[in-house]
Amino acid sequence: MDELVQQLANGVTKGSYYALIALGYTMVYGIIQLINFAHGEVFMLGAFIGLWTFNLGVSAFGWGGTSLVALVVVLLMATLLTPLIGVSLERFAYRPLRHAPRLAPLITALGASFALQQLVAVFYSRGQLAFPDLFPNSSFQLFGATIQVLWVFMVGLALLLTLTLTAFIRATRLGKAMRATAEDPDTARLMGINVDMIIALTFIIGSALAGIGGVLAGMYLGQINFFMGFIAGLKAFTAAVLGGIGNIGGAVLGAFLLGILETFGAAYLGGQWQDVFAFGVLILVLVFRPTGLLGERVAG
Amino acid sequence: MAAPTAVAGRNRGASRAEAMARMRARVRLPLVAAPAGGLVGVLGSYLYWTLSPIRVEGVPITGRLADFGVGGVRTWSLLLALAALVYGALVLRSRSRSTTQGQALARLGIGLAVLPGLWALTLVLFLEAEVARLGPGPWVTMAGGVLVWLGARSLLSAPPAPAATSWARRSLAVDLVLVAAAELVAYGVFLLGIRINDPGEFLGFFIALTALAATLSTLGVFKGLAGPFARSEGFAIALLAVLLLLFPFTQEGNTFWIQVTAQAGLFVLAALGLNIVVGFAGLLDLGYVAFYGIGAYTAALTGNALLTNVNFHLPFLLVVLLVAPMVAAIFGVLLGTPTLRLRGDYLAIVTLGFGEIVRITLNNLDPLTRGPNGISSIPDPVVFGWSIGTGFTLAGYAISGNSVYFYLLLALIALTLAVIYRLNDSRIGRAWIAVREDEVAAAAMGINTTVVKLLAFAAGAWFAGMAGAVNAHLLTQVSPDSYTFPFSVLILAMVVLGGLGNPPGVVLGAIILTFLPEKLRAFSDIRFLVFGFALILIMRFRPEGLLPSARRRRELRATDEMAAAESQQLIDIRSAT
Repeated sequence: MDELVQQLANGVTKGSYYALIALGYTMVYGIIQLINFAHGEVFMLGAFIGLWTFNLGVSAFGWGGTSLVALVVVLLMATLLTPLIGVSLERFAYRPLRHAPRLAPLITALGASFALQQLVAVFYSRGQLAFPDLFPNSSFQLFGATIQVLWVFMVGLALLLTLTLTAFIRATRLGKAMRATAEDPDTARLMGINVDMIIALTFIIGSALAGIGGVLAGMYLGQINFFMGFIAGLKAFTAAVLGGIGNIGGAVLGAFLLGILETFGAAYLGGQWQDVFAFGVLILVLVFRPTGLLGERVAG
Repeated sequence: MAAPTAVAGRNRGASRAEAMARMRARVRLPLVAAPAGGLVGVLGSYLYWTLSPIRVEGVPITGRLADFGVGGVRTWSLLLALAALVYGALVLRSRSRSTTQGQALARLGIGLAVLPGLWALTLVLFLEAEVARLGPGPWVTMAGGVLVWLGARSLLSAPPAPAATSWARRSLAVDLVLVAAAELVAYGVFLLGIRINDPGEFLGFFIALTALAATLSTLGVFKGLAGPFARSEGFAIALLAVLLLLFPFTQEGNTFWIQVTAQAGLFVLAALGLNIVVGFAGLLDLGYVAFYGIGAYTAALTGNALLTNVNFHLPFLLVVLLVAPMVAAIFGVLLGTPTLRLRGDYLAIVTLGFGEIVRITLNNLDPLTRGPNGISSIPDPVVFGWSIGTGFTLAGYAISGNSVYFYLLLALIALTLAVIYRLNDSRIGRAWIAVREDEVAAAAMGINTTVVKLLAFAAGAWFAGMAGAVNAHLLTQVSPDSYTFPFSVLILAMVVLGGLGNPPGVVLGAIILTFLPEKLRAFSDIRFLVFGFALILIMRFRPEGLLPSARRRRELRATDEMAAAESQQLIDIRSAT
């Protein structure tokens, strides 16, 4: 029983950063039907921006260990800088190809993913880098399982951001424009919506969420590398498909489910099979229920 | 986001674009600047390129760069400058000028400007030389290139030349001479490229080659040559075969480049296979390396390896021609059956996941694969009692084991090309193209799209398995780390660079992307970075690749004149009936 609760807690925590990446996948797919392969790299860059900011803070202000200021600044920097990457991707790699055959933007996305990874590898570091403990390293007992406060923070933040995003899409003018664009870009344009701007906005929001996810993952895993976005992105995509791509609630549900399934799979089959388990889930979902658990939906 | 602002925004954008275009059009000089720039380039090539000899890891850069003269990288900038000078003068004297000539000249100019620039940049960035040690030569040459480009732009407003066509038949002799000349020049350039060891000089050689090829392409030479090649196909293939068979003899006992060429052969095989999946059937397979790895492990397990847990031996020819490809194809079918019903872009991600699954499985299935250690000490294949690694002696010439691998791959590639061309011309090949162009329409025409896609998948896996099997013997070992995602991207980059759907283009792409990294080892750190950007740039500016297939070109360039003419034809037919 204790073991079960412990695994559940681990899985849900993992699911929280999968969810933050999956939201970006699902939003971009919902609006321009593109699998943005480079999205996982935006997540990775979020983690690296976090580390870079922290190192800057250490040398400039003498940050050390856990501090709330450092945490907030690091999260803020990741939120502010990753959208720049997302928007440049959209502007320079995807927008020129919006009317090209579908293979073209997919290959471009792949190239962008590869290029971003290698940019970090060549100009920053190829190795495993330790990520600082920005969050107090304390824990408590719940149903016999040890739960870190960081985990609660991660899950809470992910849920809070999801709720904010849902409210934004449901209730604001821009959210309405987003839903309209996802449903039918041409008609949306006729209605006076600046479709290019809405697509850019989608990339901005998605990248910011992935950037936050990157920092959270860095704190959770304790170390980051230039390759981390590849597998994480793939799993987040699996989560988005599992929940029903284009569907925001689905992406989050899928992410938590995948996190839980994966930890249980790893616990009972052996850790080395963890990734196989996740991709197996992806293939099974696509075969038996390609529309996902909650069904495919255009944004909202 | 109210309507008026959006509309006003677009108008402002449009007028700004127009203004930019007008401004760009004004950036030009009289045509005489072109040959003058060529002359400046010649002068620049002769001037000092560095003030003192620069050493890279203790080895001085070739071609006396620190005095007045030519040699090393300067030879290639001189070649480009002379080409610009002569061609510029010819255009200046000709009465019927056209924009095409201007474009050709501009390409020479860009090449002449980029060559010294990139050379200096790599020297400073990656070989850690200092800018202060560069002489005036590179800068003068660069200025010459810019002059040529500006002069060429004066032809922007000239009338366009008629579209290039393939050269008509004059006589058999002319055709044969043209084909032989083209092949000999290409072969000579290839051998020359192999001989250049210094990375800086090779960079110059490569840029000069690219610029000259782009110029010839603009002038319609390649399209023209298509005529003679099509008419004397048998002769062209026979001559090419002879030249390739002679290749090991040109290396004077030095086996390194024969080995690299054999490696290129492996990549050609794999890329040809991937081309069936991506180029013909239009399915993006990102886990292609899995099939290559499966083929390699099959060969390793049945190949009498020393360090393996399985002692089960099969004859090499059987493995490479049937067993390894078959096993890979079976896995292709296993993966494809459930997933190929899906939308195309899901397929990309599922195959990616599959590639990872195979890698992780190889890593963890210890009893069979020996985990991360892999299987090693795989002996050279034995064919009818003769171990091909020992080579043989022919008329007094000793032929090394590496050369035998090279010949083996040559034979496999010839076989593969024959199969691929036959497939492409068959009912299945047409079905692949139909599915690629429009799946719904293809299904409506009675094509079983799932079966057709599955066939493409299996065929692609087949050739990957074949290449993997040879790879296992050539490298004498297999391990899971050799079959990772970047390998899939590399093969995809070869297919995309060469020309999706066109086998000769794919072969060219594979050869370029094998030799280029090998030649530019000094920059191996940034190799994958360059691949990533290259994929983006190719998709943006030349989606049809270096040697496009005619159909693909039309498809990817919707605004192309040919497509316009074709749709006009369709409209005519429709209105006539």
